[in-house]
Amino acid sequence: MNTKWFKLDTAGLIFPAIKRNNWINVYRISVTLTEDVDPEILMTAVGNLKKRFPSFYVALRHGFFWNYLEEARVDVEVKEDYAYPLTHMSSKEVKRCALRVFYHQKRIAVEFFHSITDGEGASIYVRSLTAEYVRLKYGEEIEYTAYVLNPSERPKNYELEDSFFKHTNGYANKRNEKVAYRLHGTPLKEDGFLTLTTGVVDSDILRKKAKEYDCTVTAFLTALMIRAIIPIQEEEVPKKRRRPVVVSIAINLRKLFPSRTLRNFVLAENVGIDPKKGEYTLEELTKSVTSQMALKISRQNMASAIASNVLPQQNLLVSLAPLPLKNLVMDMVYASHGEKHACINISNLGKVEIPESVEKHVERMEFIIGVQRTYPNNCSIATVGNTTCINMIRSIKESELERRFFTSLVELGIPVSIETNRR
Amino acid sequence: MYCVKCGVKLQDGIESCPLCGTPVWNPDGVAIEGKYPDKMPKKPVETNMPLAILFTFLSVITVTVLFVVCMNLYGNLSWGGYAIFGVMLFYVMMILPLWFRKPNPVIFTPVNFLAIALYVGYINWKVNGHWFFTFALPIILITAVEMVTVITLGRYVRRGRLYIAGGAVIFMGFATVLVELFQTMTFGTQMFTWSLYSFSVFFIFGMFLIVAGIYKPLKVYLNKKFFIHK
Ligand SMILES: [Zn+2]
Repeated sequence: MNTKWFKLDTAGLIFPAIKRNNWINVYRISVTLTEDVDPEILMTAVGNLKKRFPSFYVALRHGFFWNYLEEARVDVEVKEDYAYPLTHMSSKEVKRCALRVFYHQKRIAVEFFHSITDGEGASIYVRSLTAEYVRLKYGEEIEYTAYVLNPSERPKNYELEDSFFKHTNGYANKRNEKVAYRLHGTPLKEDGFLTLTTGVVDSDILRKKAKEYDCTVTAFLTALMIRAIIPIQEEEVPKKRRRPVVVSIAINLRKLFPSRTLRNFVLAENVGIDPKKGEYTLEELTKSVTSQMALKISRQNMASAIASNVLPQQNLLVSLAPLPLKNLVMDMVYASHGEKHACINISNLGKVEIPESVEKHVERMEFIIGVQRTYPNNCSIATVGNTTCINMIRSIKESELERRFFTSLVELGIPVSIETNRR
Repeated sequence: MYCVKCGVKLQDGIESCPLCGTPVWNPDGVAIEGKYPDKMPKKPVETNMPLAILFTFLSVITVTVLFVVCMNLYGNLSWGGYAIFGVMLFYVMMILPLWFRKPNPVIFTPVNFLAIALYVGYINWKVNGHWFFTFALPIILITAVEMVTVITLGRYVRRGRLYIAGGAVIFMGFATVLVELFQTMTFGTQMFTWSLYSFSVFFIFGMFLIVAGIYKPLKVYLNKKFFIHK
């Protein structure tokens, strides 16, 4: 039998090169149902989707010139959840299967190695999985959509394409960014433990509040995040040595370019302020963030950002370098540039549409990204129905950033429920 | 339940606010309904144990076979000595680190050089050479000192990578002069036939790195020019 294999997409290339013994870029999307999860049915549902999502049931393999993804020879593991999300996925595990599924009480959680797909692709998988589970468990009739795929159909070519190559403009962006402030704290005693703080808010109230400041929810939360980081730096660094406070925002490129790929099609843009220039009110922050986003997240600018990622691959000399050398170079470049220009990531999955027959069994959906190689904090957001879950994850003891961020929402009149995995 | 300080709603039964740590009053002793279970993951042990065992086994067999064969054929080690000590050298350099979870290069590099020196010394003794103490050993020692210094500095000193690199390159230049000196002492060749050229090349490049470390605009320029998009 010949096994399917896939070249890594443009964004997915970097992740195998930059992983470490104790860090790898993995993220999670989970759905909380209205009833406890039946693991047997979940396992069947996971198996049923394999033919429809061939690029998800894969393992990371090494070629001579590039890494690639190959159909996993083992079944995806469906396991009881651990005390914290995103437990380390070892190199050995990624070589067996780069996708894993957990359940705990009412929750189904899927964790993806980032080379497989981005948040949008992952959310389509999780929605389709939930629909299949609900169909098996409750005999629901599912209305299949562009976001909930029919497992009995065949995968489409456009779902497997590397959209970066289609939408590059061949003119790379020049970047000239300053080194940003670095958040830090006391490492935890339990090696690898991640503390998750989930703020659950009403999406209507949040959206209305953002509207008051004339901005989108993402821009609004980004501004609040910047506002939470500024005083943390102030307490620690004298004024002259303060560095820019910058948030790296994940941009779903499917919103700008016609693409329905299930592979990665995401890039990040940095948005921030320089505290040396003075103090900012919330109005000024939201305004600044909104205009920076408008400037950067244009189709033209993103096409150039795409070009900077695509061009090196088109260089024959680069292509012909053996894989270990490429890995080394990518790792060094990432170490010196990858995380230097922002303090934290914000990734907002937005409003996740689910068909009625599935949504009535779903309480909420959560999107959780892990910490970065050098950022101890990260933030990811997802909305289903009128519940928005803001997940802040950290690898350090201090909860200062979370406290400042979530209490600022409360102060603006947005009620927040806090949940955590820490006892 | 709300945190009196932060004003956020909290999970029922939680002991303290996850944001500010303020204890939560819980008179009825409600138990918390955990969002996550208590089970911690098993620490994935990322060692190369199987590989280490396999290669140890292979090495032992090779050495034994070589020893037995040579003893039977010649009654002494003969050429088998090179092979046997070669296998041992390979073992020390390549296989020994596999046994450790995080082999520390600051320890393993000197060990490797020691092994190399012993092997080269053995060859010198076998061929009745007169070049070991005045030529091979000093070169090995100089290289060892340089490598260990660079690795140690690189590992434990966070800043000044450019200075370290620059210093190392200049030292390498000096080393080439020393190599020629030992060459002259051992083989009676003419001094300063080639080493001054190599020295000046190394010296200029090393100084360039140091200047790049001192002179910020150059550093920024190099950064910009050799920058690749993430
Ligand atoms: Zn509190």
